[in-house]
Amino acid sequence: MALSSPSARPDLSGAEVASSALTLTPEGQLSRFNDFYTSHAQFVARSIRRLGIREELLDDTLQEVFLIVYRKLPELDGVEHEKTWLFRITMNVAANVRRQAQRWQKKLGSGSESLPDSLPGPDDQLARVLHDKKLVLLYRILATLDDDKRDVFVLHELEQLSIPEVAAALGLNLNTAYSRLRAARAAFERRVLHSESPGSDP
Amino acid sequence: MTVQQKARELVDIGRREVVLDGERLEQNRARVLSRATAAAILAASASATSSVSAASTVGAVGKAAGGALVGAKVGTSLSLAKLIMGVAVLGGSVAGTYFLGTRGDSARVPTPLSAPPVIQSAPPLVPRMEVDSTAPTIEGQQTPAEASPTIRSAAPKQRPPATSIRVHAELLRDARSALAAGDAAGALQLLDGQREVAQGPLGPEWTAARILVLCRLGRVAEARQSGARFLKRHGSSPLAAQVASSCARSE
Repeated sequence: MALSSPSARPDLSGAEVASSALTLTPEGQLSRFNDFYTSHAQFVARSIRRLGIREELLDDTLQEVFLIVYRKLPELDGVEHEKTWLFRITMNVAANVRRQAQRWQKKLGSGSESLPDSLPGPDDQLARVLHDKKLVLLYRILATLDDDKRDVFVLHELEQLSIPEVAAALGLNLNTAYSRLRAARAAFERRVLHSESPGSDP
Repeated sequence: MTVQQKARELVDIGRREVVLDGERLEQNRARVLSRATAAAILAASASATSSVSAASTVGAVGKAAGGALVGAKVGTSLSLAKLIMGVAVLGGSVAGTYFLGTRGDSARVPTPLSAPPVIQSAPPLVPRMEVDSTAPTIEGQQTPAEASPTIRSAAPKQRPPATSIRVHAELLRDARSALAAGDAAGALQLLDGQREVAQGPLGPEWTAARILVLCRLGRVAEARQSGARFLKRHGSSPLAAQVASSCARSE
């Protein structure tokens, strides 16, 4: 998780971080971007998908996230948990994308393909991409969870962040994060139970 | 199998999920770098005078971004692209935004949701920079070690096809200038003259530009048709805000 050349960047105070864009060498910054992208692109892609972005918007959304990362690279030195920092960016971009997609849909009227008002389940396209039926089931269940519960569940159970990290990523206090996790686990298991109808669980 | 065991099994599958294969991973990396580079070029052309240093920097960025264009090769040609970063930092606040905001449009186009148009507040007509039009692009034979701002005098024997990110970005810039000058027909001619841009990393920028130009020409039906397709495919792009705010939207 650590950047590849931490020695090139001594720890910076907050004030120094603010001006560090001026001191990064182009080589160092590109190298850092590439390391960061290589380390985290899959995480971002998974997160985007799990945050309910339609499959056809996944690539554009990923690019938006990493364009922001690219601009904010100098901040990274002051970031304690890269993954939580990145997830916050991803979450914000995904929220924008969902809002935009709904807005464009309204503006374009009924002529184009409909968009769901809330989180989409795995649409046909996603189902085609995901050959594993159990993975499709996982997405279907995730899509039925409340946003706040799903975020905690995904970050802790699937991405294996600690609860303090999850709380930091989502801007929650610890107790709230724990309580949402409990509720999310219970809801998840209920959905698993309900999925055991014929044909839904291979 | 208990419910808990089934839940655990699904969670384990989720933990192992790989969303992007290697090729898609590199295509996205290349497009991020291309977009950042294009923004840098456009920002430089909007703010810089025709100083030699600015011109040579943009020339270098063009070549560097060319490296990003090579998709799967990007991993090995990144040293060629390293010069992107310096310029992209200069244009830091504009990476991810686009050239489409023009003076004519700005009066009726609301501020995009996620990022403002990059050039909206810049002088719409800047002297055309002496961008290094003779420098080899990535498709030439240049090696990564040769990529530097000083390479601009090294003209290739044969100019490669206009497929470098720099050339594409310059086309978009020129179209913007034409549109800003009220020459929508000229802008359309420029765009349609290089339809191959639509197939490159800056394809969405090309398409969005063409939609706005069609609007300006009053070709609303075409703009709407193209706009609907665009928003379906690129609804998450900052460009979408501009397209959706143009005549391409349904009233």
